[in-house]
Amino acid sequence: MYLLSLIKSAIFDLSRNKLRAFLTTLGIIIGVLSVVLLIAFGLGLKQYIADQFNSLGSNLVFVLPGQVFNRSVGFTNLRTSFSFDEKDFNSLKKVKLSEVLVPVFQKGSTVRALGKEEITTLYATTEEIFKARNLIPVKGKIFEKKDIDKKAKIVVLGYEVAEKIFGNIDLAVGEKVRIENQTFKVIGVLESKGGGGFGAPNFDRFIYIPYKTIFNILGKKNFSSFLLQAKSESEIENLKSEINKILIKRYNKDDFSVADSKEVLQTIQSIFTVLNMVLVGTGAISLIVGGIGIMNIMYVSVFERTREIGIRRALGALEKDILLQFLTESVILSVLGGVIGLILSYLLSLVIRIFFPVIIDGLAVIMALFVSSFIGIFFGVFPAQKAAKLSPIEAIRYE
Amino acid sequence: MIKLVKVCKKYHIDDGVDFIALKDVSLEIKKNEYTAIIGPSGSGKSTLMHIIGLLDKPTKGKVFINEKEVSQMNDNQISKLRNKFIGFIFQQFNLINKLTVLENVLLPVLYCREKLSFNPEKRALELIKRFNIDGKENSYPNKLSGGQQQRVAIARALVMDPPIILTDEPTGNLDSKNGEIVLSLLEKLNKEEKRTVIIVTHDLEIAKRTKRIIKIKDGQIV
Repeated sequence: MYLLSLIKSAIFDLSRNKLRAFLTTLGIIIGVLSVVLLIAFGLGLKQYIADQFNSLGSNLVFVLPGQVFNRSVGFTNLRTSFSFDEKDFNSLKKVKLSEVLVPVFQKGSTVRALGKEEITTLYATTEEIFKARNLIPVKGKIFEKKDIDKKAKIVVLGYEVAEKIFGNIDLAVGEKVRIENQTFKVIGVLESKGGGGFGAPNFDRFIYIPYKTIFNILGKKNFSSFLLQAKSESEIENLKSEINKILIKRYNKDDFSVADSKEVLQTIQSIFTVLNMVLVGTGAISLIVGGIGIMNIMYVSVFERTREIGIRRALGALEKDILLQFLTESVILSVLGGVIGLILSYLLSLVIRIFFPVIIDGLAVIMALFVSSFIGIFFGVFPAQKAAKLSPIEAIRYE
Repeated sequence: MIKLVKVCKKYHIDDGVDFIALKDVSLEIKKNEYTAIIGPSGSGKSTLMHIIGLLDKPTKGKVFINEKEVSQMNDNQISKLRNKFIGFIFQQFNLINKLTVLENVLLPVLYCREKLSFNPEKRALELIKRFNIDGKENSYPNKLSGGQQQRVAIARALVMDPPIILTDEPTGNLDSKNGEIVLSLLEKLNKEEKRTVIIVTHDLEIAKRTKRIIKIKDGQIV
């Protein structure tokens, strides 16, 4: 009955001045909204990156130049000048734990046709790339092993490249395009992988050419990376150490990295996590400002109700009773703000989801409610204490 | 029942200037007494009432309620004593306008943490009926006449069944008819219900109706 009467009295007092209560709550609503949505953005982004990675093949192990990935620091010591050669390709062929070995020479390149130009990422590689990365042609076909040996001037286009140049991907296959000042025949267009953005590569803007063809044209025999695939997730570590043993014979420890997709994923995600934390922290400031708003209005409320406090004290209310009465009000204000903020975040997330993946998880919901009630208590306790400490006789005399 | 021994009350006004409201006041009010404390405004009678009513603490001296010294008690103990032992009736009624009549009457029950020997709701409704305000249980005080409001206040003062009724100018805001109703009620509370009733007033006519008059002037009993 006591608690019920506290809540009833608090709701009554708040509803007497609805506009004031609403404006006070608004600070908390905006704070919770921004924190919950920013967390949702962060989680959505993480999930999005993970999905992108998974769609590009599982259990992949990358051999990259330099000390690219470092779990504790993130990206470091990126050595773009370093590259691998055919000797490395041949020695990695001895790796037993991998079903595939894909050498990649990667460079930015312009594709020209029908008077149009598209800047793309050129992948000079083998036919195994398509299997390892789950790349499926929607039109035409992919190249084969014999095309590599023949140094055939053929190209498989990413979906977006084909679409941009030919307008319709149906028109691309069989057409001629100019790449690196040579004429190539388009033999296939790959299924769209979507994605890109946020610093992640857009695989729909990639083009694939047999590596020997490109080596022949550029007069180069360097690889920028190798892609291997473990038979199962549990084999990844063994595969990595096998690769390491081979490459360490020729290079220093710092010259190359052997990373699995999970590691790459974690590194990218850790960067976004830090970024997200900074954003959430900024959002949290608005929660604090909201809390100060509550404190301010509670002081006004104590002042307005001095006489009521006096009456209650005269009738036997303890300091604690008065404290709880005002604290209940501030907690109701802030929790109400928290709940409204949550509902609004949910509704907004439904709209945002059309353009961007956002995930509101249970933890964010619990956090929002916990933090908003904490703010109610923290910022409510000072005015409530002031009310509780009023001398009954001075309060009752107050006009 | 109530005993004051050499009670002084000083107020700090400002710049070290003190106002002495009560000077060495000693008095004893026994059980079942019907007493008036009378004096002109500024005489210290309100301060005296606040000290008797445990709303204020003396600067010096001792206050005993049922032989227990109040100055030794902490705020919680004093608040509980106020809740159980003293029923207040104020000149301004001091009802809480956002609470209904019934809720106002039940307010002291809210702050009593002990198990009551009676059903408070039933008792409140009985009191409301007794004071002819039945039908108004769910009305708000500002919708009632002054006389009705004061009767709600009396019901509230009685809901905890306190042995002491302390009133401050209880008829001050009422017309003579309603004033008479209140005064005869107070008389009944003393005579029939054997409660100790103390009326603080400046009106000699009212004081004359009690059994004992304590006159106060310039903070001293005369």
